Amino acid sequence: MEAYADHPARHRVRWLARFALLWAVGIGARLLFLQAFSHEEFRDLARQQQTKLRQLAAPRGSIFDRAGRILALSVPVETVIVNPLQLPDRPLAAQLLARTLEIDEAKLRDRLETYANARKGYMVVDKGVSVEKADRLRQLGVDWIGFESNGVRRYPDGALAAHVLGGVDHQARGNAGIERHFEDDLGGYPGYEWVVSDVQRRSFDSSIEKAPQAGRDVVLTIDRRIQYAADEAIREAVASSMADSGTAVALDPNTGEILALSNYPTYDPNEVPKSTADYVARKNLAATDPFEPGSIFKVFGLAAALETTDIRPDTVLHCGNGTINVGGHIIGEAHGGFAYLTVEEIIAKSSNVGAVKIALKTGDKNLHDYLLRFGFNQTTGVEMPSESQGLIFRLKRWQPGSIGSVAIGHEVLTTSLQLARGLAAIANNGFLIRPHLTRARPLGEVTLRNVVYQPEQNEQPRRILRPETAMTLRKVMESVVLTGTGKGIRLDGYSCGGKTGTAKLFDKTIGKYVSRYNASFMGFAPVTNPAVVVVVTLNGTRQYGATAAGPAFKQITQTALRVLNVPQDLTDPAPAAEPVPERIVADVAVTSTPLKTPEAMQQEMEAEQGPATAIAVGPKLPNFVGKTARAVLDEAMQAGIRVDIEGSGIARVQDPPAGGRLASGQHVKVRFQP
Amino acid sequence: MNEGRSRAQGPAVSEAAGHVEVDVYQMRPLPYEDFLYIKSDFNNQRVVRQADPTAGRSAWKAIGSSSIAAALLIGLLLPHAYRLLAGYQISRLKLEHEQFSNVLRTLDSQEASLVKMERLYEVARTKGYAPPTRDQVQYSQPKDAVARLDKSPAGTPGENK
Repeated sequence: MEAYADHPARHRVRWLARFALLWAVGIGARLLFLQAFSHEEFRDLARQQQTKLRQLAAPRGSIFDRAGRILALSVPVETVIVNPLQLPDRPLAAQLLARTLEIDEAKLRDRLETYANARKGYMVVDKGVSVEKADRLRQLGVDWIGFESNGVRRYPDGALAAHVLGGVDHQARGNAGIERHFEDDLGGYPGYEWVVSDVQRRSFDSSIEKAPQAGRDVVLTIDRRIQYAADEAIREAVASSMADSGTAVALDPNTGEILALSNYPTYDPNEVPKSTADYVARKNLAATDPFEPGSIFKVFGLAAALETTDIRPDTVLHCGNGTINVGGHIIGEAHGGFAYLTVEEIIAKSSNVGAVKIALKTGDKNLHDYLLRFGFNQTTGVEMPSESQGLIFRLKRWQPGSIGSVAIGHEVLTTSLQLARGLAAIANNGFLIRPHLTRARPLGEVTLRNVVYQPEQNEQPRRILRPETAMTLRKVMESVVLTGTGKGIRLDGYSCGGKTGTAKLFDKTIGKYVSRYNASFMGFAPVTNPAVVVVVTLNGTRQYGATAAGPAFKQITQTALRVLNVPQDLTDPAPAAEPVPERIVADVAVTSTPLKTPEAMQQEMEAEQGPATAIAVGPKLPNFVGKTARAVLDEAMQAGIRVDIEGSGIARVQDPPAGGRLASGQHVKVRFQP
Repeated sequence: MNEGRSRAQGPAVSEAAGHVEVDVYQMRPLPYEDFLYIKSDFNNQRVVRQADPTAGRSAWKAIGSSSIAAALLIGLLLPHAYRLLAGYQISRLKLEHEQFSNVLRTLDSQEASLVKMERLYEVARTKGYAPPTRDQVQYSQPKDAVARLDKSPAGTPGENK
């Protein structure tokens, strides 16, 4: 047995055991090192592999009309991507993708080849792919097709109410109209969550880093039936009168709700603007483009006279037989002249000299005062960006002849919206209301998310006229359509009142007014208890206000009354439209030479009020570079800044850079890399 | 046994020559080749284990303790397993919810496109529909008309029905 104990085999076994022990100790030590000393490092590595920061979509809010019909909504779409370097068979892949996505197969094949030859591993096959098509591709179960989810803004009615709705830019942020005004509410804030996945990338756990805040919905006061009628009417009016552009505003005079706001030329917000004309068409003329209103302004002068003087509708004034000299400034009639006219006839026949005489009796101070009371020279506060406040010169800047020009709607600049607001005060017995576009809730039974509504818009209406003055003015304005310049404009089943206006356009190249007009008609119906106020303006036409804008007014008002279910107050049908002689409808506000040209007034207005488009200034941007996603999100949240995150790891690039400021609705883009 | 001995005694020698002559071609003995292993079966049939009165109790103790240990282990691991399964289910449901929301929005968009004003007017034109004439309209105290009487701006500040 002793010999066996000393045998070399035992030695070998012993050495083997020692080596095994050493190996085990080594492994144990390594395990101890990994588990105990490198625990944090490996835990972080594992987290990086297993957890991923995922953006939680906050769908943009929808926009509804007053009945709860959708005017704008965001629809999910997908971007299909492939890695051309990993494609097993490029021609087959091109065929498969082209058939499903309905795109040109040959072009796609060429693109795949080009990308593969250039060793590019990322190619966008198609953007804006519908969910159904993307699902069909997903069901193929191939790993070389990738998807990126995003949304696209859709306006189902196309150009309907385009200037009210505005539109969104390529980053789906509002760039005009309601979309821009309510960008912060509509846009919402995306959220972020950490997702833990297994080896097959199936997530089984998640923790919310920041909860998403979905965009809020907006209910407009717009009625799309009235809006459609307004869009059609203004399009036809521009075409038939060969005008350059046109606007129409329909307003509920009692509440200030804008029922329709239409501009022509218009645009389809679903389309991306391509030419300068496309951009021009996007201008909301009714709110941002002030003009000399011409004769429709005479009713506001008469309102001042009725309130401050003993002038009454039956007061007789001598109208100078055609001309009047105001401070060396000659003002004449459109055709011939008038001798004695009652005040009612002055408005009905739109006598310039008569209107000047009324203004002279009122006095420049009272006239100026009442124009400001009617809300001119101030924005209406409607929920749209870049609204112009027009221009009424300060009294001390009025020249001796200014009162004559202002009385006939020259030397002042107003927007269609301001005119509608002023007329609403006459229609609702003397209250200045605030035109607005949003409602607290729709009329119909519609389930909505949080609705944007600003109760402050319903500020206390301000009385600016005595009720009897407003009623008198309505009766006077009724005579315009019964016997005056608006004789052909009668509604079927409803009484109505209005005022025509035709202001010559100033040609700056020759320095004179030319025979192209801003032709307008503003009116209301029914006369006793008006339910709707409509202002129609056509720019650059050669026709008078009644001829050019009258039919559009009639069409819009008739539709609005029917849609609003307003009981008819006339039993007799409207007489068939007959051609009205030109001398009756002619209402051009004629002055010798302008005391101030519209261009000069525009410049002065901008000098006084600043440019129309004001860019809101946000908080100063912190420096995000070098920080983790969590730190960036925390800091952004505290500063009230919206951040778009790309990639993962450490923030490497931010746009705009630190120290800059954000415009309203702008986000900071931060790119992360490991 | 003797046969096995000859090689164990070392190499064969020639004594006649007076010296030991080694047969170099003879194989060296293998180690322990002279050991003889004998196989003998033990018969333990008559051996009887002495009865242990504590054995049953010990066995039951072992069974009980191992069952408790197993139950504890399962109890500890089960919630985690359920949590994991629930996590998978929640993730799947979240995904489904997202997909349904997307489908709903797509359908909303399609519905809105179908009832857009331009299309409705086109359909009405095709079918020969027209707005009702004056004689065809009967007003039956609509809610709107009644409400409108109270909508005086001064009368209802802050209200916007």
